[in-house]
Amino acid sequence: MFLKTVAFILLAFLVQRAWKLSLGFGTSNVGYINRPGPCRNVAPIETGSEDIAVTSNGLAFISSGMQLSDMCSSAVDARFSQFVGRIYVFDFQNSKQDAVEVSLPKELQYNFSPHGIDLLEDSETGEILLFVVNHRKIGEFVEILSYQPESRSLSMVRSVTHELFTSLNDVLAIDRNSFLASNDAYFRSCWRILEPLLGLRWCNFIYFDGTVGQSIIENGHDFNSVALSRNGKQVYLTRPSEMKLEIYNRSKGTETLKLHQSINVGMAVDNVFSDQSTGDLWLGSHPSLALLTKHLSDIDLRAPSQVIRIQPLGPQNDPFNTYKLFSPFGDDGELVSGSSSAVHFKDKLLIGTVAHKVAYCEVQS
Amino acid sequence: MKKNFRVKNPAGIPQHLVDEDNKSPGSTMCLKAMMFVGVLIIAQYVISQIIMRGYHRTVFPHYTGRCRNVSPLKTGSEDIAITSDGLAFITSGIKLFHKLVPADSRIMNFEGRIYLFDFNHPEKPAKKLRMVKLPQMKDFAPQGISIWEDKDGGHISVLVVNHRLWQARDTVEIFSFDRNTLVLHHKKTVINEFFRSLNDIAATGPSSFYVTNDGHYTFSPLRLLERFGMFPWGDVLHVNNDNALKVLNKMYEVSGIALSSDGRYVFLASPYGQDLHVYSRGEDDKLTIFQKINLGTAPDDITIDSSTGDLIVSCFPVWHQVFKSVSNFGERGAAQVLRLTSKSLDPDKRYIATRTIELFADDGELISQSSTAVVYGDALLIGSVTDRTVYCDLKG
Repeated sequence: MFLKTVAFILLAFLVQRAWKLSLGFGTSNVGYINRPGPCRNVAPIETGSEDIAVTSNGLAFISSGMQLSDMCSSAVDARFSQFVGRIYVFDFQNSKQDAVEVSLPKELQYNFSPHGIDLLEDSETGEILLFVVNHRKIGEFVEILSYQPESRSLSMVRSVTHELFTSLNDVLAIDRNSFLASNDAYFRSCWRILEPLLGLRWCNFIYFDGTVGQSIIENGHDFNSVALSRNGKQVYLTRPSEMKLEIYNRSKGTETLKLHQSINVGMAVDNVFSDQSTGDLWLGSHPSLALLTKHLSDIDLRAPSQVIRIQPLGPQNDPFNTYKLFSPFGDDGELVSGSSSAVHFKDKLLIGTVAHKVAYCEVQS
Repeated sequence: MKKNFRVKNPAGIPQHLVDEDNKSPGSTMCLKAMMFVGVLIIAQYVISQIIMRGYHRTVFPHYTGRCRNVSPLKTGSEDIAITSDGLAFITSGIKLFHKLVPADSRIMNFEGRIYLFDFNHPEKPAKKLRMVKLPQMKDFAPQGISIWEDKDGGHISVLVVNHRLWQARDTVEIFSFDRNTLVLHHKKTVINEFFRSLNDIAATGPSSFYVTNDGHYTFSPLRLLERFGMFPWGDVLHVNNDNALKVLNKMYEVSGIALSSDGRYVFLASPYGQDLHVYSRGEDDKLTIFQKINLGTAPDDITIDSSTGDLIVSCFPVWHQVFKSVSNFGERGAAQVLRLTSKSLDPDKRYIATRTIELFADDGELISQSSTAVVYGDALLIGSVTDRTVYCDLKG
């Protein structure tokens, strides 16, 4: 009798997990091609462009070459270990130019597997500070780098690591020394597969104030990407496996976050970009996590891509009270496979991927 | 050797006096196993219904900014057929209640008509066509429509599926179109015992055609059982000179059917499987399966873009919304139009590997339930079951 109850509970649990996972998994999803206008790849990026940050002048910094092999190498294509971590810079205002590789400080050469990226612009000095999540061989780091435009190089300002950094994904810069960082899993190794399977909630969302790091949201699973609203009062967080975007009300200074709203997007969303000029949110998304997983195990297999735009229609103090979802870009994976990020600048879109190329599109409304 | 086995009745008590508890463990196990399997079957049915009917789907709208209503169509534009020179014939005013789809009462005011939209003069409204010599015109409730153009550019035959309520039967009406007077002259009503629940039609000659039965029952409550019991009682017929041949059998809810420009292939929309079937057409009009193209969405109608040979597929991305929005016109159903273009330039490999372009997607705001779409040049015309008709300029 006892055994039967256990078996039944186990079965019910497995069915519940399977159902929750299957929706985001999108096994029946086909990648539809959909263009907002003329689109093309941006040379020379071919080994990923996981995240993109943009200055107010349209200078885009792209993190490329993330070596997923540190994250369960048996599940990913062996070629990932040969990827070289780089930062590229692309100028929206000179879009005909290729993306240019930016040179890294000595400490990061051969020691760079970049993931989420954010930037701070000093309005007085014009200095650009980059915050980059780096999966170093020895652990998870947030690198704070200063961009030297004349030499197109990055110099090291500060390297931060912390015991709370278990599997970093994205970073949000607050000021020169402090930032918010998201953990998308507890394990960095193959054990991480158990987390979504068993519904483990061992992830946290961290605030580092320059000296001390602390969890400001705990017991989550899969905190993916983070962005800030125009007025700094709301923080946006994506939850790919639950296909939603969460909006938190933020108290500046203490950096306490309180969940305000959850937008069910209906697709596995990856990185979120907050458009400072319109307040829109742009999301790189995966129509099928099943096909994305296959693409990561064999880079030659294509994974469909989609960009989703959330337009706020609510009042100033609660912009997403009402909203509308659009999808201006979709691809079957031939132009870009596995779109993880999308940034919008003056009617132009730049779409980044986990392990593939970058697409540049003109948006004709 | 001591065998370890359970003695069912150690005291040798007569069987009929044996305690209930000592009943053979085998039978309770069997019952439990059956219940377990029963639960799994029900669960599998529920889950597949949810997925098939699109309860889990979100639709993200996008279309070029230049989309607008086509007046005066307000009571549906279920199907559209287009000539090679851009004349689009639109069936309007379908009264769907006969298929046991609970319909909004306003559907009773619908008037079954055929409209003409000229892609060469898109700024002009669609024109209601006069139908001459059509028997029982007030009982005209059209659905699928197809055109046969005589190669010498002259004669146009218009073939229409008609759901006659008064006679409680489905028929196919064949008209001849007069280009000069813009009048449809009724030539023939085709009646056949195999016409059960007609949906769409594809002309193979001035009076021969393929036609789909989307089910078996039409005017009977048994249709609900057929629909939810997933019974594959639909089929595809080819009709020539009043002879009907069943070319495909045991189909579930098949709808749109179309013929390739060269007549070699027949395309069938399968909303249940969320795919499009491509058949090669034999000399005897029989069909053999050639390819199945997975669409990831429920297709309804298929038309051919004559300039490229691409397939234009109109879909119900959230299938269950169709029924919801027909039963209450206030509820909007999501709309989607796909273009299937070939990856290969080889005409024999045309439909083997295709790329799917999403030309139009809407959550129901602009148009509710896209049941048909045609492309001519750089323009798109989209029809719906009971809602408006939309014209989009696809040029960048």
